[in-house]
Amino acid sequence: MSATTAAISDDMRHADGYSAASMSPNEEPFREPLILGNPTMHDISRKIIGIIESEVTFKYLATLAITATLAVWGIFCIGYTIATGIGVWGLNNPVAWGWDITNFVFWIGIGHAGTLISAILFLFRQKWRTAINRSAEAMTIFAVICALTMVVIHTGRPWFAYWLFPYPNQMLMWINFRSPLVWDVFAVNTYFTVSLLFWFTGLVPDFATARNMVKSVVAKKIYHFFSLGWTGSTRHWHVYEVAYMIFAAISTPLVLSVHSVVSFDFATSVIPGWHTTIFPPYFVAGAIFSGFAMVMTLLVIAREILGLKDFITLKHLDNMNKIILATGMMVGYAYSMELFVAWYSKNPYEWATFYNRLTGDYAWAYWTMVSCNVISPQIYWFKKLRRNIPVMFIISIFVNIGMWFERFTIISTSLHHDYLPASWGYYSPTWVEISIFIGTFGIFLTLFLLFAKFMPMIAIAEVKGVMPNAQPHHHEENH
Amino acid sequence: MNPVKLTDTPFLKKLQMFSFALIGIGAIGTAVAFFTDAQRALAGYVVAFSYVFGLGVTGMFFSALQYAVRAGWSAAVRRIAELFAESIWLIIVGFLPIIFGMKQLFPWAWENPAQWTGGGEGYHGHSLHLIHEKQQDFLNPEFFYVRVVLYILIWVAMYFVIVRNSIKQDNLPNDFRGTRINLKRSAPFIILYALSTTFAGFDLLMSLETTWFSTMFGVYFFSGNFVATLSLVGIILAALQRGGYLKNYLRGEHFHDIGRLMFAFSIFFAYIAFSQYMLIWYSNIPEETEYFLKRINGGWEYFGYFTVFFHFVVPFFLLLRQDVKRKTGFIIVGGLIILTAHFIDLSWVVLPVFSKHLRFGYQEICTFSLMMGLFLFFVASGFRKYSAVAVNDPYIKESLEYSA
Repeated sequence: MSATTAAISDDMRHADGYSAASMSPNEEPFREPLILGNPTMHDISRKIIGIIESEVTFKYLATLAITATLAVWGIFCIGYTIATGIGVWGLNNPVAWGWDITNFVFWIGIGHAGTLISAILFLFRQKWRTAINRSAEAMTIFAVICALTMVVIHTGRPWFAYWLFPYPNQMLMWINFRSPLVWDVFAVNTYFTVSLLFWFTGLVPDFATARNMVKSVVAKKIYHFFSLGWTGSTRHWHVYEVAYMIFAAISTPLVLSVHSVVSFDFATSVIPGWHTTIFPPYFVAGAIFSGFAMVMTLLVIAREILGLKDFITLKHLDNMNKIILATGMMVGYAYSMELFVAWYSKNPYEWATFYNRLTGDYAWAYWTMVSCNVISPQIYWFKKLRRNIPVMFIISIFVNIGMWFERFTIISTSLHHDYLPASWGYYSPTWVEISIFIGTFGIFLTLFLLFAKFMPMIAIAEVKGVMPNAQPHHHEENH
Repeated sequence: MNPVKLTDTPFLKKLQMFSFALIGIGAIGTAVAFFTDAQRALAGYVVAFSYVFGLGVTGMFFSALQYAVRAGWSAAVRRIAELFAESIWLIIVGFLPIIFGMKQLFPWAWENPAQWTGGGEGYHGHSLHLIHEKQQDFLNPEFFYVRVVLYILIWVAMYFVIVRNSIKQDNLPNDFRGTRINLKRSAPFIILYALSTTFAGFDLLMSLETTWFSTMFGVYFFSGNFVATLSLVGIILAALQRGGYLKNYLRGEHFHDIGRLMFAFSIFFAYIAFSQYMLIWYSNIPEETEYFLKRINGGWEYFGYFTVFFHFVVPFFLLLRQDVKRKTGFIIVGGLIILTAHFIDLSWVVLPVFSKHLRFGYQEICTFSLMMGLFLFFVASGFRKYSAVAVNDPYIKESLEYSA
């Protein structure tokens, strides 16, 4: 890059070509740069591919060993559940859904940020998404894998899980198309397929970069295979851009539909606390909330260890924290609406359920949820705290805890008090359920660690497109 | 850059003439309607007023949202929505007929609760008036006044902070203080907007039938308001562009983006409306289905079909293609369809409460015409006084250059 460009101070460079040259120098700019350190195009490729090329460290192997052990332990417990039966869980008569469905909804929720970032933020031209979309999409896919594991084992006889699909069969037995549980099968599978394809499409040019840059012959072969003969010709880019746009358009309704359908599992019932009309958008907002929190947890660590601070800047983290604040408020709005309408309606069953949530056996879970999801993100009203790494790491963990408890609260408080007081009960998980949940974290983190080592962690081609010198009016200003 | 004033332009004259015509026709029709059947006229007024305050307040929300998300593209179009807020005085005064007509409108304001049920038994074996009596802790006239005052205070504050700060900048080149203040204050105002319109929706619309309740209702009301506001912004922009007034500011990109938002939020409206309907239909609980039962019988079902088609299906296919969003003609047609459908949708929410059978005539249309005329009159006076573009917005350059 020329010396003139380098001489421009950081705060006068604007990643999107907009310059506030008319402002007095002591004012902060209205647009912050998206990439720091003034790298060249080649620097970017080298940095990201360098992560793949670097030696495997002991720390990495040790972390991988721990997560893989957890995953193996979880898989063992899944095997134990399948071999023995769901009786090894703590489910009982009023509470027939427990940790398992809680975990399912939790993981599906985590899987929402990726598609929101890759599809909706793309359509909204949010250029800051380029630094984080790759890892968020990867996380989405791993989270949906965990979620699918949870529902499949919950069927009780997972070897018959294929019965969930409608296909002509000798038993002349069809699924009940009116059941929201069946809609779920379609919604989640569609979501998984489209997210996977979207992620892979974005990866193709970067696989080609990796293919060109890695030294190992085996790795070259593998990247060669996955880059689908990408040459970087104009024709390829044209087709790629069109495909990307179409994927973004298809994925956008999916961001809303998946968690809406998951919420239908609850909301179509006649159980107080489950049947409430705000559930679909409320679940979607909650899913984005938890998804962003998980992206935050992972990226705060990743940018530190992999040295990606110039790509995933404080500006990116600040934006994500704003989204966490906004979606946290939406969830808070939904909690208050449920509570308010239960009181307003004077419907005795509604109010009994909500009063029980606030004060009953599971009040601890409810208040954990409220403190983590609604109260803790409020500190993000302050810019200093939105840009404070330890604070955002802690809050992102809080949000994850809170969102897990949200699902747990919804499921167990509504179920444990049946319409008949004689059949009230209480549910606590067994060690098997807890182990399976920990195991899904093992699976999730193991996959993420492998991804971070073997795939381009940041969308190289897209990041290059938001550099200041890639913008049309860059060279006309400040020179 | 200099403010773009439309004073004495044919556009403004036409807009004023149009608003006077609407007011004239509307006032006569409303007066006749009021003296023939006061309750019916008031019901029509609830529809018209909800529509108008939805546009006015959501215009401010649109502006606050642009600040909160640091949007660059919208700097050239934001002012149109801000001028909707000029109707703030109309909104304040507009609560008066509802307060005076309260006893005709809201069951909770009736003096003798027994007449409310007609002596019938409700759900859960409760006599309906017992539920009604219990609901008096929230739904009573005194608390209603308090809430109305709160809404007004919030909206007036929003007007003075968000809209006035934006307008002030027009004559102060290179002074970004107003923007900086708005960048800070817009987010809290969005929260206040969400709460105030939700509860205003509960008060004016949902409490017409006190035993029916839906947690989604606030979102439902918002989604209709937002897409209607976007449509009206789109129509006015298209008209200004056709008249050649904003040639230096508006480009195909802006119409593309407004068209996209209209498209996206008519889908969002459909999503919310479908979710509310489907969940209530599926669960089939008496206290909830009473609402839709009224609205899918007695001829009202045609209003429902109309909403499905013209609030969602037609705008969806009309605005689906990329190129049509850049054509002002399509934005105008699409916008008018959505605005009409929003009126029909609000009528569908309110009117069946007062008549079992389809009853829709000059009364409803004239009240709407009166309120809409007054609203446009205030918008026109905004165009007369203020610049049609936020010319000194720090993002204006970006708005003139970006590519969609």
